[in-house]
Amino acid sequence: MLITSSEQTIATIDDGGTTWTRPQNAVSVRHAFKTYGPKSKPNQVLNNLNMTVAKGTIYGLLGASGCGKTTLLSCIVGRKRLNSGEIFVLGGKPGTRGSGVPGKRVGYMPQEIALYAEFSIKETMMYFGWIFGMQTSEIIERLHFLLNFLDLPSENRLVKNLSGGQQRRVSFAVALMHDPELLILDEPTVGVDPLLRQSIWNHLVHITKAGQKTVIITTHYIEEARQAHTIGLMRSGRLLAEESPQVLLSMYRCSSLEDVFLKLSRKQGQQQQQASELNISNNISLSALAFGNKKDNPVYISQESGVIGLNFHQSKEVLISDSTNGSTYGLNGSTPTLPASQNQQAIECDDCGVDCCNLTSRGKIRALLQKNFLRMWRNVGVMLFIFALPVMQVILFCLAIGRDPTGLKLAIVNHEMNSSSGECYYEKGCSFNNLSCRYLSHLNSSIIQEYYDDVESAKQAVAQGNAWGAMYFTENFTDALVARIALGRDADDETLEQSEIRVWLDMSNQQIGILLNRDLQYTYRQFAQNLLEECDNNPKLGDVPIQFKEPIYGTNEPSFTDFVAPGVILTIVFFLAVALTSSALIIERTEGLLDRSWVAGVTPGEILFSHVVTQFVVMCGQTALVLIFMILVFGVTNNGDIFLVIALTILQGLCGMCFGFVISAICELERNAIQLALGSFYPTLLLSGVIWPIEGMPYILRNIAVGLPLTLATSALRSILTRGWGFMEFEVYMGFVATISWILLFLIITMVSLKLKQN
Amino acid sequence: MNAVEVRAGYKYYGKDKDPKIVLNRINMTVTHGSIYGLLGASGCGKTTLLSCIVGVKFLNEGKITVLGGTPGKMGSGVPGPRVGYMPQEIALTEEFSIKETIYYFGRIYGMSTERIRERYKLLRDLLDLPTGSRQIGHCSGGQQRRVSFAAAMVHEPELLILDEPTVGLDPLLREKIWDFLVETTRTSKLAVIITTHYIEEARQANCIGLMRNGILLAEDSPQSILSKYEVDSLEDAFLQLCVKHGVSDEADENLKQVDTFTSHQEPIEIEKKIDEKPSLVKNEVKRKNSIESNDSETACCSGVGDMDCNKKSLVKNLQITTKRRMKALLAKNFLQMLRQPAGMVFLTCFPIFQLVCFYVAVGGNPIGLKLAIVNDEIQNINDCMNSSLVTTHINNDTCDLNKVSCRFINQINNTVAIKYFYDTFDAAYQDAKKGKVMGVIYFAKNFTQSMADIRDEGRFANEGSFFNAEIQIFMDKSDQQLTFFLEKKLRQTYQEFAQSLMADCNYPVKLGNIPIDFEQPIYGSYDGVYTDYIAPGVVMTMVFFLATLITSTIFITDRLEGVWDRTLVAGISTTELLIAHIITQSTVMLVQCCEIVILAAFIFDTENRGDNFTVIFLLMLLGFSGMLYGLFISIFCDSHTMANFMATGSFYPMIILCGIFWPLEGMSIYLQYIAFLLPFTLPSIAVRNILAKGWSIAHASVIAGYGITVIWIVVLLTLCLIGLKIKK
Repeated sequence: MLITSSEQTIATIDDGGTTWTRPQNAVSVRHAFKTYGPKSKPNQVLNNLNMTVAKGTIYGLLGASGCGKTTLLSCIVGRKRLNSGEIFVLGGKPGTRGSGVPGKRVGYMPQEIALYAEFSIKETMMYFGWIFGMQTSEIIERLHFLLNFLDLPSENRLVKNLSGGQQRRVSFAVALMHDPELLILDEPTVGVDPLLRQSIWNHLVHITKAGQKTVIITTHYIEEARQAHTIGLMRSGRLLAEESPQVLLSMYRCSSLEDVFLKLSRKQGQQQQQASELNISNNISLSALAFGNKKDNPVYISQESGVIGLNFHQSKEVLISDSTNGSTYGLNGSTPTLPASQNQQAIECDDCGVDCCNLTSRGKIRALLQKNFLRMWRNVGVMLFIFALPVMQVILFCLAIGRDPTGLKLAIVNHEMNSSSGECYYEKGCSFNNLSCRYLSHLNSSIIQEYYDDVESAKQAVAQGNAWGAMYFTENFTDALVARIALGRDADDETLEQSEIRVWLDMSNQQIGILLNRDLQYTYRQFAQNLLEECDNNPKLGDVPIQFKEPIYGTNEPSFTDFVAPGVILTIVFFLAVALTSSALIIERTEGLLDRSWVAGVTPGEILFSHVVTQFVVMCGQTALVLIFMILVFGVTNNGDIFLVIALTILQGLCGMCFGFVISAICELERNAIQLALGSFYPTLLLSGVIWPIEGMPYILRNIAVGLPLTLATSALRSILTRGWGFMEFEVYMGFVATISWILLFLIITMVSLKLKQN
Repeated sequence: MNAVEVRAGYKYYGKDKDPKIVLNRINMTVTHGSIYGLLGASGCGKTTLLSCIVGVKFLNEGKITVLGGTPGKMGSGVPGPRVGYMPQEIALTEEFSIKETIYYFGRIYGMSTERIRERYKLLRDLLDLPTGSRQIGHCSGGQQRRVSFAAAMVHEPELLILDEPTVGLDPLLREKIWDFLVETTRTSKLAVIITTHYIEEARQANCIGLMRNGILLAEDSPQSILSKYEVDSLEDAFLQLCVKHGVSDEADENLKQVDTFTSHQEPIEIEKKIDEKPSLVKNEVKRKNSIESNDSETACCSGVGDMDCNKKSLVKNLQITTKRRMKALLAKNFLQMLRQPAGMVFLTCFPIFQLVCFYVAVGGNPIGLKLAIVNDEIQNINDCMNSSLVTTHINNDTCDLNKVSCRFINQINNTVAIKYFYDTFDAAYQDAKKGKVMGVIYFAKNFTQSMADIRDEGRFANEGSFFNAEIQIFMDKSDQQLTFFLEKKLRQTYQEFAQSLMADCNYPVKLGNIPIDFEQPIYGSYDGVYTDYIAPGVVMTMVFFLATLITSTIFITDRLEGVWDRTLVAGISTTELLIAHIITQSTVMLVQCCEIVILAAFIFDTENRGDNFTVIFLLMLLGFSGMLYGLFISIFCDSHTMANFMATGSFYPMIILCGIFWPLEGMSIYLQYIAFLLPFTLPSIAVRNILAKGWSIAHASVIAGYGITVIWIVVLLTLCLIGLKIKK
C-alpha cells in the first residue's frame, strides 16, 4: 500500500520537476558504476547511482558502513575513478586539469583524525594552509578565527596532547581552513560531545546560507541529518531515496528518519530485483525536487538551532546564526541570481586553476617539507635513530674491528736454554750463541710467550685452548742453524732437521692463525737479517728471494679496517635511509593523512619530492657524522678527493631512501615493510663485497652481485679511499653511474606503484 | 542483587599531583535481566568504566561489585567466563574462519566441544551468519560485526558488555540485534551493558545512563527521562542535560547533580511498569518468574552466603579449563600463521636464502685475479711455454740452471691468478696503476745467473747478484683480502718452486725454505677457507635475529587490532598469552633451526668434530633467547616503527661486537667485557670450539656459551613478564 502510493508521488514529481540544470548543482553523479576485485567476480560498490547536490545546500549522505559511501566520496574528490558513469563537481570533472578538484576548491575531513600527532595546532594549520597556497598572514588570520570559533586551546599545544574531541575539532578546522566551495565531511560527528555536534551543525548551516558553499556530510547518525537540506539514503551501492527530510517523513509517514531508512531498507530487501530500474528514476526525480525544497529548509533549521542555542551561552555560533537569520530569506529568495554568480565562479576558477599549478606548488612543497622535518624533530626516538645510531655504529666498528689481536699466548718449548734458570739469554752482536733466544726476542710484543718443558705438554696446552700455538727448538738449534747456513747444500739431513723451528698452530680461528703464521715468518726474516748484518754479511742472504716491493696502492700492511670501511660507511648510510623511509608512506596511508593530502591536491610526485629533499638533508648530516668519525677521529685511510667520497655516500643514502620508498609503496602493512627491509639487509651485506671480495664468488653469482645497488659503489669508494682515484677512472664513475641508475629505477617503480594505488 | 554496582568510582590517569580525572565518583547500578544503555561521547570515560567492570583496569577509589564479586579477584569469574565482551573494534583474527573464531572463543571459555557446536548452530541461525568456512578477512563489515557479537555470546555469559555494537551497521541488522537482546534479557537473568553514540536506539534499553566528562548526568529509564525533561527525543534530553552541566568540567559543582540523578535508582522497576506498554509489563512478570525459577534450580549459587561454593566450583572450573584455553590460544596462533601464505614463505625460505647467500658469497678463494708478468730474462715469452724447456741439468757435482724464471712462471697456475705478459716493466706498471691488473712480477735480466751465483758463492756473492736474483713483486694492496690471498699464494708458489728446484738438483729439499717448519696444525688447516671460520658466528646471528624478526611485532599487532583486550576480558592471563606465543614461535624457530642445521651440515658440508647434539641444542637455546628478545621488543614498543628501530639498532652493534668478523682479542679489554655480555658472542665462540676443536660440554668455553644463553633467557623472560604486567 504504502509503496504504491509513494511511487505515485514520485511519478507526478517526475513529470513536473525535471528542471534541474547542471551549473546549479555543486555535484552531480550520473549512472555511476564502480567495482572492485577481479572482473570475473566483481564486488559491486556503486551500482547505477545518481546523486545531485544543489549549490548552497547541506547534503546528508546516510548509510551503514560498507554501503559505498566512502567510495562515492573518493570519486567525487577525484581520488578514485568510476568504471562508468559521469561525475561533475563544481562544473568540472574531478581529477582533470583546471577543475580545481582535487585541490583548493574542496575541503575534506576524513573519518579518522588524520592529523600529525607531532604537530602543534598552529603548525598543522600552517601545513595545510601552505598546501592550499595561502599566504602566511592569511593563514594566521584564519587560524585565529577558527581557534575562537571552535573553542580550541592554545595554538601551541601538540595535537597528540589534545583530547579526542579537540582533535576532531582541529581536523574540522583544517577542512574549513581555505574556505572551500565544497566541503566534504566524512562522519564528522562520530563520538563528539552533543554540544560540539550542535555547534558544528550550526556552523554548516551558517556557511551554506549565503548560497555559495556546499556541504556533503556523511553520518551514521541518521537523526542529526534532519538539519540537512537534502538527504540521500544509501544502501548497497545505490541511493534508496534523495529527498529533503521533511518530504521523506511525510511521504513514509514516519516520525523519525531512522524509521524511514528502516522502511526503505526493508523494501529494498524485498524487491531487490525489480527495484533496480525503479530506483534510478526514483533518484533523479527526487533530486529534482530537492532543489525546490531548499527554500523551506533553512526556516526549519534556523528555528531549531535557535531554540537549542538559547540553552547554551558558550557558543558564539548562536549569535552568528541569530544575526544572520533575517538575511537568509533574502539570499535564498534571490536564487535566480545564482546562475550569474556561477558563471563568475567558473571564470574565477579557470584563473585559479592556472595559478594553482604554478604558484601553489611552491607553497605545497614548503608545507610538505616542514611537515617532514617536524615529524622527525618531534620524534625523539627517530632523532636518536637518525643521528646517534650511525655514530655508535662507526665507533663500535672502529673500536672492535681491524685492530691487531693482542695477548695471544704461544707455548714455547726451548730445549736449548737452561730450563732451570727460566731465562733466555743471548748476546747481541755477531754472536752465534743461543740463537733461539735471539729469535724469540724478535717476536712481536703482542705475543705472550709461555714456556713449557716438553713438546707434549705444550701441544696439550694448545689443545686445551690455553695457547694459540706451540713452538719447539731442538737442543742444538744454534749449531745446526749455523751449519745449515755455512754448509748450504752440503748440509746433511739431520742438521737441517735440527735447525728447524717446529710450530704447531691452532688454526680454528683463521684470523689469529694467519696472523701468527705471518708473524713467525716475518720474525725469522728480521732475525736472520739482523744477524747477517751484525756479522757484516749481506742481509739478503737470509731472505727468501721473493720480494714484495713498495706497493702500488695501499700500504705494506693493509688493514682489515681499511678494507671493510668503505662497505661499512655505505651500508650504514644506505640501510639507515631504508629503515627511515620504508614505513613513512605506510604510516601516512594508514592514518588517513595521505588521503587528506591527496584531496588537497598534492600529487604523488610532490610527496616523493618532499621526502627526497628531507632525506637529503638528513643524509648530509649522517654522512658528515660518519665520515668525520671514520676519517678524522679513527683515521681510516683516505687518499682520494673528500668531495667524491661525500658525494658518493650521499648518493648511496638517497639510493637507500628510494629503496625504502619502493618498499613502502609496495607493502600494504607496516609489518611486511619491516620484514622486507630487515630481510634485505643481510643478503645485501653478504653479496655486495663488503666483507668478502666479489672475486671470491662463483662466476654467475658475481654477475648478480655486480647488479646490486651497493656493490659497484663499494668498490668505487674503496678505489677513492685507498687508491686515491679521481672521477674519471672507470671503476669510480661506474660506482656513480650504478648508484644513480638505481635511484632512478627505484623512483620510477615508486611512482608507478603510487599511481596504481591512487586509482 | 544487582548484576553490576559501582559506588563512588573514582579513577584518574597520569601523576598523583596533576591527575587527569576519568571517572569522577560515579555511581551506577545494573540489574539482572535488563539492558543498560551507557551513552556519551568518546573520551567521556565510558571505555574506562567498562574496563574497570570487567576487571582489566582498577579504580583508584570506590567499589565495584560485579555478579556478586569484585572483578579481578580469584574466584569471581570476572574477567572470565561469566562476562562476555564485544569491543568497539572488530577485534577478531582475520585469518580465522567464522567457525574457527567461535570455537576459539568457546575453548577459551572452557566449553566442551559439543556445547560449542550447539551454541554455534544457534547463533549462526539467529544472526544469519554466512557459511562457517568463510574467513573473517573476507567477510563484509556487517558480517564481521555479527561474528564479533556471536563471539561475545558463545558461552552464555551472565553479563554481556557491548561497546558500540551497532556503529555503522545496516538498519535491518541493528534492529535484529536489539530484538535479540530484548528477547534474551526478557527470558533470562542476562544483564547487558551497551554503549552507543546513537542515543535514540537506547530507547529500547531498560535503563540508560548519560555520561559526560566522567560523570553520570542521569541514570533512569528512557521514558522517565523523556517525561522529566519534556522532550520527545533522548537526544534533546541529553543536550539539555549537557547544557545544564556546562562545558566546564569542574567536578565539585557537578557532584550534587550526580546525586540528584542517581536517587532515581530505586524506583526504576516501578517506573518501568508504569511507563512501558502493557505487553512489556506482562513480559516483566514472565521474566521475574524465569529468574526465580533459575534461582531455585541453581540454588547453590544464588545467595551471598553461598559465595564460597560458587568460588570453589569456579576455581575448579578454571583449573580444568586452562588446558583447553591453552589449546585455543595455540590453535589461534598457528592458524594465524598458516593463513598468511606470504609470511609462511618468508619464514621457511628466508633462512635458506640467507644461508645460501652466505656460503656461496663469502669466503671463497678469489678467482680470476690478473697479474702482469715482465720477464727480462727471455726475449719472447713463448720460450717459457715451450714444453721441451729444461731448466735444470745435473752435472756431476754441480747443477746447471737455465731460464729458471720460466719455471717459476709456470709454477703460477690459474688458481692463483691469470698471467698477462708484458714486454716492458713500465707498461705493466701503468696497467697496474689503472687497476687493470692486481700486481706486477718482475724478473731481472740475469735472474738465473744471479741465483746460481748466490748458490755457489753464498755470502760472498756480490750485491748485484742479490739484487738481480730477487723476484720483484709490485702489488696493488688496496684490497686487503685480495692482497693477503695473493701474497700467501705467491709465497707458497715460491716454496714449491724452490723445493722442486732443490729436488731436481739433488739438494736437500729443506734448504729451499726458511727454517721454520709449520707442522700439521692442531686444529683447523692452513688452507682453511674464511667461510669455515665465520660460519658458526653467522649461523648463530641468523638463528637469533630470524627469531627476533618474526616475534618483534606480535604483541604490537595484537594490541593494535584489539584482540588483546578481548582476550584479556575472556579471563586469559598475560602469562598464558606469553606462553602460548612462546610455544608457537618456538615451533617456527625449531623448524628454522633444523633447516639451517641440515643445510649447513649436509649441503655445505660444515665439518663438526664435536658432538652434534651439543651444537644443535645450543643453537636452539640461542634461537629461543632471540625469540624472547623479539617478544621483549614487541611488549615494550608501541608501534611497528619503534620495534623496527629497536631491532635494527641492536642488530648492527651486536654483529660487529660478537667477534665473527674480527677476533675479540683485537678489541680493548673493556670492550671485550661488553662483547662477552652480548647474547651471542660467547655462544659463537663455544660453537666454533665444538665444531673445530671437538670440545665437549665439560669445557669451560662451551659451558660459558651455554651459561650466557641461559642467563639471557631468564632475564628476558622476567622482563617480558614484568612488561606484560605493567602494560596491562
